[in-house]
Amino acid sequence: MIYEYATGTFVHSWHREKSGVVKQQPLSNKYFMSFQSILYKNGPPDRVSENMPAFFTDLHLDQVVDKMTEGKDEYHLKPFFYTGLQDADSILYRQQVMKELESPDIRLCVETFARAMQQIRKMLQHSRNCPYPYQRERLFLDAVARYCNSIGLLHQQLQALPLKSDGLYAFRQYLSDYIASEIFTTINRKSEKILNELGAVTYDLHTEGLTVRVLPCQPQPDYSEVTEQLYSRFRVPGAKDYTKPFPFTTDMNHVEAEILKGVATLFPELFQSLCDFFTSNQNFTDDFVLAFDREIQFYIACLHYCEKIKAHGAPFCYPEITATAGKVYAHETFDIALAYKLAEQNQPLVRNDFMLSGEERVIIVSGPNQGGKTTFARTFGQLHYLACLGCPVPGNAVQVVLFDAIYTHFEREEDIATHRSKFEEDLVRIHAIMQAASGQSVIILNEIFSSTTLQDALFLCRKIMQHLIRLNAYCIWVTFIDELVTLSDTAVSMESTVVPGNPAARTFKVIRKAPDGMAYALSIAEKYRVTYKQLKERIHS
Amino acid sequence: MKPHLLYPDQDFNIKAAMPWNTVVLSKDLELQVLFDCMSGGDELLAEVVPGVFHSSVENNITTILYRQAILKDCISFREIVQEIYDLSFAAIESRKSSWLGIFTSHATSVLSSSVSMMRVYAGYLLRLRTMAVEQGKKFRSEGFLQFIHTLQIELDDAYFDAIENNLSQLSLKSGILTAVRLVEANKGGGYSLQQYEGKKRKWWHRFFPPKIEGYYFNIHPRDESGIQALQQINDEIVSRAANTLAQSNDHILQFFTLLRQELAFYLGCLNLYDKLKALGAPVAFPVVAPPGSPVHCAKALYDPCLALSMSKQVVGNDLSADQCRLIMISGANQGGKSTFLRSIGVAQLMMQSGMFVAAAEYRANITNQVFTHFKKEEDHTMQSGKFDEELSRMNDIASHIRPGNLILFNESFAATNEREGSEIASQIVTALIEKDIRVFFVTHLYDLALHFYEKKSRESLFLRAGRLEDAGRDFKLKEAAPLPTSYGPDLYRKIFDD
Repeated sequence: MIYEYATGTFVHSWHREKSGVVKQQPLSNKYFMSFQSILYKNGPPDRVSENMPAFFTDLHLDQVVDKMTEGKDEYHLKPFFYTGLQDADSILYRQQVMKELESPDIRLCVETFARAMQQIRKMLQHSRNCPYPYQRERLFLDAVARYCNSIGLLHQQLQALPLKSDGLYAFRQYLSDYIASEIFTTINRKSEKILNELGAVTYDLHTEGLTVRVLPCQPQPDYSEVTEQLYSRFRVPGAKDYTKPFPFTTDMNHVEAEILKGVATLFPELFQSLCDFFTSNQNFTDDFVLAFDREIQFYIACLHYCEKIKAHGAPFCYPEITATAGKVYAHETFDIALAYKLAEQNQPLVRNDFMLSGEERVIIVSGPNQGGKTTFARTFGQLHYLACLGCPVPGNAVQVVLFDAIYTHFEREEDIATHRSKFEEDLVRIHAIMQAASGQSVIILNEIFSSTTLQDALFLCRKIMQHLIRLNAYCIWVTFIDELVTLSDTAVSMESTVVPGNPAARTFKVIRKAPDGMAYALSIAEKYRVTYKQLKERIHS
Repeated sequence: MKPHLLYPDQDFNIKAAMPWNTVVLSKDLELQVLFDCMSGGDELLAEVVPGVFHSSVENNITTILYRQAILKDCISFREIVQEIYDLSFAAIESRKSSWLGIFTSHATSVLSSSVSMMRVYAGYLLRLRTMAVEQGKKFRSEGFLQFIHTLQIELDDAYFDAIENNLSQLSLKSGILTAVRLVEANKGGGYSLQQYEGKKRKWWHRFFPPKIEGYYFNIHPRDESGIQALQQINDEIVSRAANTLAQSNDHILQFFTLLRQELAFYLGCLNLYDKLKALGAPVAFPVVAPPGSPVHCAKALYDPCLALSMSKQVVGNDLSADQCRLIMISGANQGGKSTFLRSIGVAQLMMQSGMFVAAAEYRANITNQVFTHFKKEEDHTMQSGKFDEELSRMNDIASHIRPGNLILFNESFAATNEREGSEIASQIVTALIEKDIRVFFVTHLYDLALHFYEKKSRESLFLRAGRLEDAGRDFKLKEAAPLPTSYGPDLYRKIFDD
């Protein structure tokens, strides 16, 4: 990412490549080898998707990412979330950085730097919009000085911290070299020198009527002070303050600009050097530093979101990622979009466990409606996707498998009017998924074919099940047809549950148990005392 | 600069919170009559007098004597005092015509308004000083002498010259000169106003302006935003000086306001003095005794409120109650018992205020609270509720009363049968006097009076409203043992005319 003075925007390198601008060469090969990007171990990928993946809406990840990136539009973070990582090394690289940023010390210095960079962008914006050359140049100088200071500060703070992650460690190394580089030291020195000289400038101003004169400074005692002394005998504590605040703004009006011109005539050499500095240092920023400033926000956004949920007692952890199929499990996991909402409303959250081991691939989720089945399915998908972004995942002790793609099929309510076409469309979509998915995919099916007859649904589900068994992909399938689980040893059954004795109350717990279609019906019958036993007892002969 | 005419070391605060029982005290002692007489229809006096009066219970002996001396000066040289009062009044009024600063937020306007205001005030201060120094040689009181001394020291001629010089500089006739530092964003900042004597303009400069030296530019007269910008800069430059001057003006205004308020009290005293003198009623400056061993003596003590409302001299009582903590008054109805009780309360408050008292002689300890517990005339029907209410008021008093205080009971605790009332009252009174509280108790409760009389304590004094041999009241109280009956039959006969 680089700041283009001409357009006044930060242009990301991938944009610039498209527009044919040559990418800036790193300072030396040394950095090239050691530090590429805080997000990508091996440098940014050639392509980052600007489009939201299809499954985002179904898994409520769109809500999650919207919340995470709220107020961070300037960083254009969403593409980072739209693109998952494909190899365990890259994920580990991010996990390390993410873990490290959980430390308040490190976070603070990164956030301080981010705020400084935001201000610098504003300052440059201001400079660009400034119509008065002497001020434009000064605003630019102020921004450059701020930039140098902020980088110095960031470096100094990072030096004092024990960095363990490859990413931050390499970045610190890069900063050290950058700060020592000719380019940086030169602008730092020059900007400081001019700033000091400007800071020492004093002059006299005489206004009379509409005439304004700028004169060389001829120091006298402050007459306000003299006046205060004179009337000190009339001064009492707690007197009414007649002073109105004069809030400082860097904005300049044309009268001030004219005065500034006058000041420049008193100090011609100094203002000339300011002008020279402005023209010769337009590209003062470093691409890697700017990229860091943007990319680190990915981590900050993520951590802020998770911390809000953590504050309400829900755990997060860094998942184990296995490259080959094996155990997939999570303890105390939950839907993070729901958890965030509940945290905002200060409501309790129900957490669930699951485990697939050995040859197990498919979880069939059944049980009473409104019992947390869909949420559970979403959780499964979120876990996998967050893991491949290198983010912390909800739960403690989580292991997931590396996947090539996530496919979801959730019921689309808006199509209910046209039953036939919806049914057809369902089939088309399922078909597409089965065609595209591989053994390394994650598939999430939610109440498919619920709008057709039981007979049809049974038939189709059996067919789909056969496909899944053949694919051997990890799948979670929410369905009322719980006998599906009997079709294969690779399928396990989980059910949403109700409070014992009160079937109307949901626990939102989804637990692993053999399909037991009667349990729910029985509990309701008991509640109404119409079970066999109860009826026998109640009906007296 | 403070007038300090009410307190040797503090200002009068007209907004000070009044003691909690102010309203009750005013009503029970009928102080409004006194206040009306003192204020003589003047609004300011009507506000100041009650404030000073009610806050007087906090005064120490030094303050009381300080005021007595000033009041004596006021009685002797009332024209000078009136003149100072009128001058302070005029100074305060002048603000209305000269001060425009409150309508603007521009420091330059505040400054120019303050400069002209200060000119006016300086004039009044000079007149005040001149008058006070010339006329005030006759004053004897520490308060007035200190006041004149302050004016002489703080407002000498050199100071007035310095003010005049400063005001002409701050009129900014030759424009505003300021030293400026270049700050962030190449803006001007750290403005420091500089003294500036412009070059003398010759008449021909109006037609042939002299060449302006150095870098300069002119803002076009129709460039409104430019003029506004310049205004902003000018405002910032003069802000501090404007504030100083405006605050000084406020202080001077406050000085005159305080002066007027403090003198208003003494003018109120003079009004009362004149009125009582005109009625031929005696007045005297009391002898103030410190807290401690009971001192309470009076000659021809009367209730000024009664005298004023009847517009005639009224009968005074003598009191000789040194060493007495309990003064119990019984006797004839309409025999002047309540009036006597009021005269004690009013005299105490007048003494505490630093005033003369309505008596030929008066001597008493100071106290820092005066309480009244008077029978309520209204609400005859609900006897039990009334007794409840009486005890409730006693509860309020009990939470404020301290040793050394003065309390006046008027027919208290009689809203029940005599035995109960006596028992309650005697328990209360016993507790109070043992706590070193001065108790005046007007009562019909014979049991109560007898209870204390039989103790034969030296600390108790029993007064009785007597009657002349012709059964007409002379409203004089005499030291006498309580009698089992009051003079109700007399009254009955008088009213029923048989």
